[in-house]
This record gives sequence, structure tokens and C-alpha cells, in this order.
Amino acid sequence: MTAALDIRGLKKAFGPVEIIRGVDLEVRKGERHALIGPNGAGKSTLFHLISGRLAPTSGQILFEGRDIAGHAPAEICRAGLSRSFQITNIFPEMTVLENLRCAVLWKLGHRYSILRPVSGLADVAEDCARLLDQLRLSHRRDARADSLTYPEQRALELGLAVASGARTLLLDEPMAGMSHSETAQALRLIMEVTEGRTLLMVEHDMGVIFEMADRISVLVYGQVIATGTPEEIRRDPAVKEAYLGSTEEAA
Amino acid sequence: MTDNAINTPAQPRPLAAGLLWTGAALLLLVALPQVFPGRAAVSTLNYLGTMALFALSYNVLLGRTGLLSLGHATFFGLGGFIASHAVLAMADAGWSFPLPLIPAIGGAGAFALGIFGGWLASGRGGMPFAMITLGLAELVFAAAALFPSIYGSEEGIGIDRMDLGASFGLDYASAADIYAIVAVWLALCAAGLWFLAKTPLGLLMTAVRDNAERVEFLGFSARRIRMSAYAVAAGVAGVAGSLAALNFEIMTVHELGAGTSTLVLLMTYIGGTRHFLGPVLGAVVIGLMKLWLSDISPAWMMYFGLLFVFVVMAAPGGLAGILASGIGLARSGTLGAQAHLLGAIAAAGAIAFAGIVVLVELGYRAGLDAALGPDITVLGLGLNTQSAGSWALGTVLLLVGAAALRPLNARLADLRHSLAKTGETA
Ligand SMILES: Nc1ncnc2c1ncn2[C@@H]1O[C@H](COP(=O)(O)OP(=O)(O)O)[C@@H](O)[C@H]1O
Ligand SMILES: [Mg+2]
Repeated sequence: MTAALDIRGLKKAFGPVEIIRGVDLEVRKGERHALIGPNGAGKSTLFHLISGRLAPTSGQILFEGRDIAGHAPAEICRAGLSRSFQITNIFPEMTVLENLRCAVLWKLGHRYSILRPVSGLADVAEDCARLLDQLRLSHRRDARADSLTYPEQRALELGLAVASGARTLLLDEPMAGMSHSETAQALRLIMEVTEGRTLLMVEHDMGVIFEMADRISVLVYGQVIATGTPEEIRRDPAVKEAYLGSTEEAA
Repeated sequence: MTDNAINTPAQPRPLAAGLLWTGAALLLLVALPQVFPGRAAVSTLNYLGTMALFALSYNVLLGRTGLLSLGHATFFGLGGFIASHAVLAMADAGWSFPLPLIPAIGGAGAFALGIFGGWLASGRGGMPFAMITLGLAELVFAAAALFPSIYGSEEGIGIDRMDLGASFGLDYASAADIYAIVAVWLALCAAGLWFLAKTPLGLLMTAVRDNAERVEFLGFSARRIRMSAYAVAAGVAGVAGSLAALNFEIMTVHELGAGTSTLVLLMTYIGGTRHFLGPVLGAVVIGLMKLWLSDISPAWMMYFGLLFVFVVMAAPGGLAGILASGIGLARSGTLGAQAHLLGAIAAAGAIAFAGIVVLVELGYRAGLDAALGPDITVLGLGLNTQSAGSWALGTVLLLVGAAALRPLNARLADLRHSLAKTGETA
């Protein structure tokens, strides 16, 4: 069985500074995989490389067996991999419904159509209603996205990634900046909407990670120093040294 | 955007409202030449309709897709030249082609050129887009000098619109016949653009305006969306240019120059880019200013500039935005409570504006038009450029009006704040 994502020897340098220094990472089909690591380790940069926002300096990114390294974001999305952003990246002046409509148009085959008004497309309406319900945003359907509360915006951010129908999702700190109760709710939401898909997620909250992840990879200073089940990661001496130890001391 | 628009869910926009708008617009188009008969008036209507369509096409880029084109006149002009040459060639060959369909040729030609131009310009939005459109426009303008047979020399390319003969029961001698052509094309293109805005492509254009990068991560090519917007805008501008050619029976390189590009930008922006009919409003107001104000004042360009600065600084929603907030105010039921302050603000604004007019007219008479003598009548006042009193009057009016505006605006803001509060608790 080919992995959903198979990353080999991936490197990315900004000028003379190498930020991703030879990452090897495998994400299996259908698993929930957490990516952890200290601030500045390169987690977001790795996501940018996988999703096509940045082109790698060298290395391979195999998505379902196909090398997508350096491909355009749109192409990668169409291939079935979509992402959310650490810094909310939605359509601020459009309504929640319009945001979601944009996200489902490609999947439903309407693409750049000029044949019918969007509001008259039954499949779009149905899919958006289901998403709104799932994201608990039905009551905010016609509100401008920039008028949403922070957790609502994060839900919409997640919604845009999920709506495109991708089989593999990359979520970059979807719960960053949320309160405890908001986090719990967001986690439930993420578990629900990623059901049956492959998930690679950056998260800082250890409680969340050990609850949701099938496997965890630890990225430190541009390299994956360990991959394993939550139990294995908890026991890994290198991880303890480089990462968990320091956060436990800080806590 | 008002807070209301953000927070109140689902303003009903049913079919009925759309039909009402369509009916009102069609009625207006039919009624206008009846209300303003006479060759000169109808000719003015033709010009305004042409510019309204031109501005509507520009707003596909500026308002809808968030793209600042600095060379939109290229397609207005090219459309007009294509239409002119089509008329000349077919008249030469003795074909009987219905004149009202000529804009379809100009529009199609401009659309095709727009696809090519869009392909060059649409890689990115923002500054690169603006610069490339400017470069392309300058290129086309410069090329015009190299091909006098296509663009004509100084005097341009003239046509006789009656050469193609009569069709649809019209012989196209009168301005009223041309009005029929302009009105039908304006209505058709406006309806088409309205529809486009509702389609998936129209939604994606808005998305590109809002956040072009995110569009890419949803599977779409922002470039292709920009390119589509560019080509559509070019095609409709080409129709408008063709209408101008039929109306004036002459096309010059001036029509595809930077001055015309600036004019359509100002019309669209002043009218309001975020309302579908904003550009129409802008084209009508600026068009009339251009026609009438240039008759009564040498300083009309100055007022035009002042209006633009006012809109940029005080009313970024444009005239349509002002109108919309006026309607919102009337509907809010608090107009009565605010009427006295609004009246005072209007009075202060009028006083300040009168001061500006006095100073501008005095300035023009003292400078550019000094040969006409020092005596001048402004707003019914007999003034003299050599009298200190005249200048003092203008200055005092301006200062008094401006000084009164500031506290009045502050009081209005306070009042609205407290009205909003009582509205919430009620
Ligand atoms: N475009 C860029 N140019 C230069 N350095 C960058 C760029 N993007 C990220 N970096 C650097 O790369 C490092 C990793 O950043 P990031 O991937 O955002 O870390 P993480 O998401 O793990 O916190 C940081 O030190 C950051 O300053
Ligand atoms: Mg990050």
C-alpha cells in the first residue's frame, strides 16, 4: 500500500539559511498524524512545501505515489490534498456561505462556469448546508467572514480546507489561540470532519495530540527526529531531551 | 459597508426585487429621450449611455476583481476603431449589414485582444497588474502613430453611419436612432454583467479580490480568473467604444489614450465600485460635469479633481455609497432625530464649497484668463480679482464653513452612537 504522503530528503533554504534540513516523513492512508516541535522548527514551512506555497530546494514529496514537489497549489489541491493555515486565511469581505461556495465549486465540477447563478446550483446549496451544519456556522451563514468571532473564523478556515473534498488534509495549528473549552469543541469538530480522511496536523497542546493522533512526528530544527505512536514518542529519549523535557520544565 | 449590513442575516433579495430594478431601468431608458427631446439632448444621452457602459466594464476589474487597470481605454478605443473599419469596409463592399450589430464586431474584437492582454497582465494582481496594463496601453498608443491607415492621423478615422443603409426600420440619421442602439446595448451588457456576477466565475472574481492566494489553495487558477475578468471587461469596453464611434462618427487615438483611461477610472471610483450601478451614476455625474461645467467655468477640471479627492478621503463608497447610506438612514427611522444636524452640516459644507468656488474662479481669472479683465461674477456675486475684499470673502467663507464642519461632524457621531445604543436596548 502506498502512503498518503511520503517525503524524502526534503530541504528548503531561504538564501543561505537552511530551514528544512532533510526531512523524511511518511503519513499513512487514513491515519491521524500529528506534527509537533518547538516554535521555529519549520513545521509551517514544511506545510508550505507540501501544499505548494513554497518550492523545495531539493528532495521529494510523494502524494499517493506521485511527486508533487514544486507543483502549483491549485494543482496539488485538485490532486486531493488541501490545507488550512496557521494565520487565518479566509475571504474576509464575503459571507460565510460565499466562502464555502468557493471551496466546493471545483469538487462539484462547476469550476469557472458562467452558465447558471451559484444560488441556483442545487448540489452547491446542499453541500454548503451540510458543511455549515457540521461547522456549527448555520446561524452565521450570511455574516461577513471578518465579522465572525475568532473560533468561528478558525472553524471557517477549517471548513475551507475540508470543503474541497480532499482525501488528505494538512491543518496548521487549527486550535491555536483558543480557550480550553473552545479547544475541546474544535477538536471534536476536527475529528468529525476528518472522518475517513488522512490528516496531518500541527498542534502544540499535548493533551489534544495524545488524544487524537494515531502517530506523532517530532520536528526539531528542520529535521524529523522521531516518528511513532503516542506511547513511543512519550518514551523516546531523544524527544524527551529535545522537546518534551523542555516543555515540561517550562510548564 | 455599514455595521447593519454585516450583522443582520439574510436581507431578502428575491426575484421580485430584481424584476423591479430591471423594470425601473428599462422604463428609465425608454422615458429619457421623451423627457429630454431634441438632437443635442439625445446626443448627450448617447454619450452618457456609452460612458456608463464603459464604466460598468471597468468595474468588472476594479470593483469586482479588485484589479486596478491603468489602460482600460485601450479596449474602448480599439473596439471603436474595429467598429469604424467594419463600417467602412462593409460600406465599400456594398454589404448590407445592420448597423446596430456593429458593436458586436467591435466587442468581439476587443474581447479577443483582451484575452491576449489578460494573458500578459494577469500573472499577478496589485502593482504588477497595474504597471503591465499601463505599459500595454502606452504600447498600443505609441503603435497608433506607426499605423496611420488604421488609426488615422491627427483627425482620426471618420465614418458615415448611414452608409450601411437602413435596418430595423431606422435610417440612423437622427441621434434618436443611435439612442435606440445605445440603450439596447447598455441594457443587454448590464444584464449580462449582472448575471456574470452571480455565476461561479463572478463569485471567484470576488474571491480573487478578497484573497487571491486562498483561491489557489481551493483548486483554482487566480490568473485564469483575472484573465477572464480582463477579457470580459475588454469586450464590453469594445462595445462601448463602438457605440461612441457610431454616435460621434469619428474615432481618434485620443480615445485609447491615457486621458480616457483616467476618465473611466475616475467615473467608476467616484460613482462607487461596490454597487453594481455605481459606475453608471459616476459616468452620468462626471459626464454631465464635463459637458455643462466646461461651458460655465474654465476651472471645471479643478472641480472634477476636488470631487475625486473628496470621494477618496471622505466617501470611499463613492456616490452610490453616499446614496445607499442615505437610504439606510431614511429606513432606520432616526432621520428625524438627526435632521437638524444633517441640515447644519449641509449648510456648513455649502458655505465652505462656496468659498472654494469663489477662490478657484478668482484664481483662474487672475491667472489663466487674466486677459478677460478683473471683473467676474461668481455665484451671483460681483467680484474683482484686484480687490482684497473679494479674496477675503472667499477665504472667510471657506474657513467658516470648514471650522463649523468639524464640531458638527463630531456631534453627529455622538448622536448616532447614542441612537444606536437606545436602539439596542429598545
Ligand atoms: N520566507 C522566509 N524567509 C526566511 N526565513 C523564513 C521564512 N519563512 C520562515 N522562515 C524561518 O523559518 C523558521 C521556521 O519557521 P516556521 O516554519 O514558521 O516554524 P514553525 O511553524 O515550526 O513555528 C523560522 O525561523 C522562520 O523565521
Ligand atoms: Mg507555524
